[in-house]
Amino acid sequence: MITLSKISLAFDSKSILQSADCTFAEGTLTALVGRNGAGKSTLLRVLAAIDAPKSGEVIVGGKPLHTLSAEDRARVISFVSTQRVRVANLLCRDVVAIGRAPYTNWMGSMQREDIDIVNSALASVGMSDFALRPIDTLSDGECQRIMIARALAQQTPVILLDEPTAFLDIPTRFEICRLLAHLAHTQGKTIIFSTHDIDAALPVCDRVAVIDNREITLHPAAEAQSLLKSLFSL
Amino acid sequence: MARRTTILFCLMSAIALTLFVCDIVVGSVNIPFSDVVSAISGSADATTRAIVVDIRLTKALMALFAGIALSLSGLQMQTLFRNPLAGPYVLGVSSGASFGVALFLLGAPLLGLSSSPIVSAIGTTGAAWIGAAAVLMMIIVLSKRIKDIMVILILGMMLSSALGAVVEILQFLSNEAALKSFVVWTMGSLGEVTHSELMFIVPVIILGIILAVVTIKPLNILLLGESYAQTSGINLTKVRRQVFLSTTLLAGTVTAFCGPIGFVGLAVPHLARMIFRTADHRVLLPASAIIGSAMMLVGDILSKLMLLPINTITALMGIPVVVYIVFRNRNLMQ
Repeated sequence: MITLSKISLAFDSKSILQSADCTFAEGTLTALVGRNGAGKSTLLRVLAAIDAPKSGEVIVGGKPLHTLSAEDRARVISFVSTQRVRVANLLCRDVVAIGRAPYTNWMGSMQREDIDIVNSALASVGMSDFALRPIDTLSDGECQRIMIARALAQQTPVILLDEPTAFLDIPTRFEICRLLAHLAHTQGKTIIFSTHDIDAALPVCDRVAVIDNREITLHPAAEAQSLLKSLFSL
Repeated sequence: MARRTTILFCLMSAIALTLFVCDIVVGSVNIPFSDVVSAISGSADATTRAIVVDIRLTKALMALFAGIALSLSGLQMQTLFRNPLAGPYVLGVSSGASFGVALFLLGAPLLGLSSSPIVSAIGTTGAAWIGAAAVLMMIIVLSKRIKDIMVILILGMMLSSALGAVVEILQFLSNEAALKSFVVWTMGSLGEVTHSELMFIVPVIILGIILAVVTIKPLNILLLGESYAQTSGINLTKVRRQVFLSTTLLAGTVTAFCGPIGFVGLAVPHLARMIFRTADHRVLLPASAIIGSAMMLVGDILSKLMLLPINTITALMGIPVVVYIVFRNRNLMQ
């Protein structure tokens, strides 16, 4: 569970959210939607504690995020960014292993348990066969699955994803959304992802969070279609 | 996979060690190998011992440590800036050092300060070190307020260019003798270092190496980019500070004592990635150190045989490596 408490956000000088309250329950998949520039990425970056909010606080597991150390934060929230990872000679297994960083020693040495967690994370996203492939030889969709596996290996109750379906072809978009729903429902994770991909997201997500006019509102997915139509006068 | 790495490490170390021995054997005076051995064990005559131990061994050790230092700071910079063309000098270490030296060799005579005891006590080396450290401290202070690493990179480059312009003004205003000693300094030299200076350089470089080792885990995570690093429990500001400090100690010290030595720090990390086929800094760090020292030793041997400045040799050796790698692998980092 992750809660926004009286959060105000701004991007440059433009106000994005004004004293917003919102709670994302565990075991649910939430699609975060809004116009370009509405502040989806900014909100995700604040939820991930990459940026600080203008005012208010984010509460995870009963504790305000800003009171936790960087390492403790990395044990409750993992983040999948829009940045595409294309590093030569970097194996998929090692990318997923980076998810273990908050738990390993100063050298990043992997224990037996860490290796098992990495393997099961790869299995959860159906990428076990890719473990020893260099990440720069993968397609965008395969790469996105590896980045989701990395977040799983971090074993956090909350996973945030910034536009995980951008760059992907239509079938892969549906696959990734279904994968996220499956992970939220079977592993009890709180998963929030920003998207413009209403068609792929709506059938599988539990809730839709809409950022509009400096407010964030949470709706059951079933009502979202008509709501979005009226909101954005489609 | 792990076995291949072990074999490569053994092979590379053997090559570096052989080059180290060759570097001591090769020189303008022809000394047979048996005499070199007895000179080091202490039983040769005073002249031979002076040549082998004081000159050649000191120089070979300097080459070894300079190679390690430049390669490690190059590796750290390439990962931190996520840029395959970053190197130890990208933040202005060499222009800072050049600026210090230019102020000492060119500026002080212009102001009539060259006979002042304070100025002469600092010396070329001190001036270079102060210049390099001042530039990096400035970058560290400024980068505290800057989030985007690209901005820091641009800042470093612009600062370098600005200092370069000031150095050119000083060159333009100076007399021939001062100008020549400055130009010779910019060509680099491993041979100016004395035994007692080496006793100072080695511990400083070892400190820089320790700092580099501490950044292994954060650097591995930084391969994925800064937002992943921050959400994996890495304190970015702290890591940047550690890397910059390590570079000051490593590249700053080498540049102060040997002049700016180009392309080793840029090319060696690429060679290490290519030979060891990995992106893991736990392998790349020792690999870069070994390959870097081997490359500097080759450079030193060639510069002795051809009587050319070390900087020109390392440039001619390093540039083809960089060109080859850029052509071979266009999506090297990002």
